[in-house]
Amino acid sequence: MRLSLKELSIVAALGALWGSVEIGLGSLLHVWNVPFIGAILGTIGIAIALVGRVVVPRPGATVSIAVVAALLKALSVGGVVLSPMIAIVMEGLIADAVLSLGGRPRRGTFVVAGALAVVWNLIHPILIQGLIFGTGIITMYTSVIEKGAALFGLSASSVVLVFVGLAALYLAVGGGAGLLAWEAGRSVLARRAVGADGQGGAA
Amino acid sequence: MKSMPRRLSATLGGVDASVSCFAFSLVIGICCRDWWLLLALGLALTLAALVYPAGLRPLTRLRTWVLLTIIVLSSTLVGDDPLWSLGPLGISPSGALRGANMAMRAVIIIVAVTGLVSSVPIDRIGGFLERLGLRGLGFAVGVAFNLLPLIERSLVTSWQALRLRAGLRRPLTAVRLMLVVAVSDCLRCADEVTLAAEARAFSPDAVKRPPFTWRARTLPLVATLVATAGVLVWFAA
Repeated sequence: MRLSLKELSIVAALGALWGSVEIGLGSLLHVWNVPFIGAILGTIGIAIALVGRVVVPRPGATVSIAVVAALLKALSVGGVVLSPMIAIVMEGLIADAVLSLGGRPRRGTFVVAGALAVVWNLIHPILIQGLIFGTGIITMYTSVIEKGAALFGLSASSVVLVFVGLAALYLAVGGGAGLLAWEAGRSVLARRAVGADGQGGAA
Repeated sequence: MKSMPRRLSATLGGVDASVSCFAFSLVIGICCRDWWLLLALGLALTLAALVYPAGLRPLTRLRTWVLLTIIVLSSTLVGDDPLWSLGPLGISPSGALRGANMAMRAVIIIVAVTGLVSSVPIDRIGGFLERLGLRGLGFAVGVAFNLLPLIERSLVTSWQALRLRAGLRRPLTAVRLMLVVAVSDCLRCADEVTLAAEARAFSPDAVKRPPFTWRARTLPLVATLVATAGVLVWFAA
């Protein structure tokens, strides 16, 4: 992937936008102890990165925006930033893979890219904890779920049902972010085209 | 006598020493178990204190200890073959051992990662990613870092303008408008950066970053770490 100077500047600016949302809004949400922070920030971030893909329609543009945002996240005043950094890069990677495999940019591929990227936020904590604590954490979670379900008289399958419900919610929100990004990206391109025409006319 | 500690600190202060210690800590943290893991933890913490003391910072935070305590406690309470039980909970020695293993492994990894991130500058990470194929990323990170305050200010201004014009009455339209305005502002900044860079005949391809080199003085440290990791993994496996 070789981006031109102009494309690199756009990647940098949109990466800075995602990064500033992560640093500013992220810190605020952490202080307020808002639930599902990862999903909220991930949805906003992936919407920005997908708009970036409309403006720079090149494979690798989305993941580059994500990498810039992740590196800026390292400057965050919060304590543990490694896990969010990995989550940001993974979201960008998933969205980029879907868009690159999907061929010509279309509304549908943007919806799928957004949905799959946001649903990563549901899987991410489990995988990261598995990496840090080892397979023991999975055994412990399974045991906690089985005993907790037995205590409340529920079957283990109802826990799976809750997980599936959450996954559906994340997919819907992510799909919405993809659709929003597609529409917003086209608006941005239209505004830029009008701006360029105006400049051309003046010259 | 005086030059020895200075030479030692110069050896331990480089990026190559940090990367070696990070890799060593990761290998022994993942491969060792039980008493061997305790030994690995001691080694990893000693190395961190010598090579990247900033890596020990998470251990001064209450949050880290709360997390580790929850891990050990919950593993003890829900583990197999409890010695004593009350309802679904009990005191399980095997669960406690598993919890202690998880906690020690977590401390090794958290200290190693924090130490590496704090001792390797952000531009070196950018340069490393460029070499992995993300060309121009070093330039992009530099530009993004400088644009950060400008974009934050622009975001706040757009948000206030939207709020004052009653744009928040229709939330979905407000979100879309906010995204369009924020991205358009960013693109304007990007255009200005491009113009300034082109005026100075700058090309991201022309930037040559210094290659990552292993210093000769780090080699004894690397050899010692590889040998120690080999012995630990051999006995712990």
